[in-house]
Amino acid sequence: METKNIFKGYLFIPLLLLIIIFITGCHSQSDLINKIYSNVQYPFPCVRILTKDGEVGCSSKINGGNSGELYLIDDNDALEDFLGGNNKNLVIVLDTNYFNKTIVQQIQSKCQGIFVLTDTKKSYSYSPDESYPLKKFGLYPNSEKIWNPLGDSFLYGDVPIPIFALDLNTSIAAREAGGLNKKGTKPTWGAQFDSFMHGGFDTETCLRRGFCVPIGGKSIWTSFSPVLNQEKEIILVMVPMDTNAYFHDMAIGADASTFAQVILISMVETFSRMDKTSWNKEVIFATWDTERWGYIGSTKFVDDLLNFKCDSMDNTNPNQCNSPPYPDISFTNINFEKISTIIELNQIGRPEIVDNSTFQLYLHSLQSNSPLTKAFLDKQSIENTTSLIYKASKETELPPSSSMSFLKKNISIPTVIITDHDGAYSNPYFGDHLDDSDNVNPKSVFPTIISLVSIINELASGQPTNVSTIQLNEPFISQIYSCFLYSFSCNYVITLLDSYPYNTYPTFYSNVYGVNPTFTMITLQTQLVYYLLANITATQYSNTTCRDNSGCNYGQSCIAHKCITTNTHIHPAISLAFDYNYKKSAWFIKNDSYPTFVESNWDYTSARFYQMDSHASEAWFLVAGLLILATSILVIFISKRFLSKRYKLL
Amino acid sequence: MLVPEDDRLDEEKMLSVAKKLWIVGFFFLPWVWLINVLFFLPYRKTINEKIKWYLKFSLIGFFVYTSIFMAWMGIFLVNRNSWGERGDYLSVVIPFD
Repeated sequence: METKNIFKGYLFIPLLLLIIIFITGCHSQSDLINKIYSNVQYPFPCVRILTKDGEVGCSSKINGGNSGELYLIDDNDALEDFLGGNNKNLVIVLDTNYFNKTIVQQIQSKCQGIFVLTDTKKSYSYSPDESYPLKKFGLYPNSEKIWNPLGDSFLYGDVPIPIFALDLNTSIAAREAGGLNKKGTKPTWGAQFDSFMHGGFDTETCLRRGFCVPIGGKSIWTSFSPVLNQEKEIILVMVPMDTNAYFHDMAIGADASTFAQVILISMVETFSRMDKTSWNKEVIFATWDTERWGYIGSTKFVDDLLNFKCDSMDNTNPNQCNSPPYPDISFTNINFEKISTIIELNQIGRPEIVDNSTFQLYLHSLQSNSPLTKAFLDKQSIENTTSLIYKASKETELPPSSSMSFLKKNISIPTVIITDHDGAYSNPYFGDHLDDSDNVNPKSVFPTIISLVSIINELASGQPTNVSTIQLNEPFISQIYSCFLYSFSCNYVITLLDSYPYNTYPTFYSNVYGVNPTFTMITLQTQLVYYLLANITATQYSNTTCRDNSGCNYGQSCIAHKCITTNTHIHPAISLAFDYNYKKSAWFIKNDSYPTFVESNWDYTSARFYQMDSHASEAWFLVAGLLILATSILVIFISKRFLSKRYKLL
Repeated sequence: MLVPEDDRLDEEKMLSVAKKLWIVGFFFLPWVWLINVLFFLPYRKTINEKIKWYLKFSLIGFFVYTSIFMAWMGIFLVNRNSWGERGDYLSVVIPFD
């Protein structure tokens, strides 16, 4: 009896030990994962896009993705060694100089995936966009002109492996790890990608299966007039809002359009403090979304101006249409016929410098002698204070621009498209992630704003502007500039937006429209533009706090939890190709002459690094483990036999 | 709990089992026909001609049905995507690509 009790007491100890091992075991397991793998905090994946003709972009394999040993290609020898070798289980760490269509096509079938480094600058100019961007959706589908001679159309290529860009710090680490592998240091570094894309084949199949969502976004337009006077002529000042890059989360597109967008917002801010009583025209400022995918935002807006019909209005809100679902139909106040002037700011971040100090931009227009172009060209002769002049472009065709959507419907609208290039693009990185803050000239910001404000004021009022009345809010402009071009983390983001962005890398990729017409997406960048313009042009601020527009009085908008009265509006930017089938709950292609770009769904995208041993040492680990197992079995067996003989109790 | 009478199958019971499984198999269930054959394998020496007839046609039916199903499955999997909307309509779960 006594011995039994003792054993019962002792039984608690192994039980306790088991529990402790179990608890600590769970912890040490996740610790072990952290020790083995180092995750890339912000991966910038290349994702899959589909068109009506097939697949574009990248995808990893399903279940675990692709993985392999790192191999650094940073010089021609490394590239040749790789192309000559037979090891297909490598993950390429690609120096930015080797990231272009020609080289990726050579290596894509021989590796598991590619990391593109961003720690150094490309030593040559490169554009992954088309040589005539969006030719078939523009005004001249049969043009022979080449606007973007650097373009190799890589953006529209299909790659069978995952490609990720790495942020600065991870790039440095990956280059180092790849360098160690090159030296033959053990253990070697490996990496794993997971960016499996659900969608495949083409737009029609993918939409039917519900694996894709149309690319789209939200355009924004604003006016200082509380209500647009439909009798007045309209001056439309606009920019394309979105940008594109091979890695969508890195699409700063500084010269492509973000610089122009900063100028537009700053212009609106400058006008807000100026006397506008002499304006006898309506001035509308607009920024079109999803333009890089076939002028989708502007085309949709023009189509709505001409063809919109509401089948069932909302009972409570006279500004809302229930079918088709439009939460805001203020655009019906705009009469397309009354648009008498279009001024488009396109690529204006790299103005030419003439006479050492004067910036020069080019005017593209179909009416070279119109009063509109004259207003720009005459500017230089009178004003000495603005160090920005304009020159008429020699080109007879207009460059790729949002204005084309308007001109398609009425070619005779007086239009100027302002760019920094006369003929071919001067932008060395059009459509690339390298089109960043270093690619534009910040010194031209203030002169450009002053010059444009003065010209637009002149066009709207019909009287010359006294330049000394133009007061720039320099801190505001600098802050917006750095917010849009350097880091999306300025005060305006923090105060105006509810959700702090996950990654502060600025990107103006248009994103997807939404799973259906009522539940649509709006990117943080678009939200910020909307909030800024709404706040600047607000005619009345109230102290009522709100969560959304329904918490405010009619005619007011809820901006940063405050109800304000503003004539700033969001307009859907979705391709006219798509319509929604409510019965089947799916988008479908109604008219495939319009752009049919859709983005594939995915669960998550991740990339992680790990260290791995040589096959020989892994084999030794296995053999040693088996030996230990065999010995312990033997020891237990022998000792059990010995003890059971020695002590009958056991 | 074992019931002594059920312990062994007499001929009549065997026949009724074979017949029932043979009929059930017609409802697109070839595996039931295979089970019919496998079930009687231990009794192969004792069963009579009538049961054998059912088993023979169960086996034939199994092969016919299976080959039809396999052929259809092959055709479906190969052509699923090219059939477009009809192919998706026929799928219960559409696999990713």
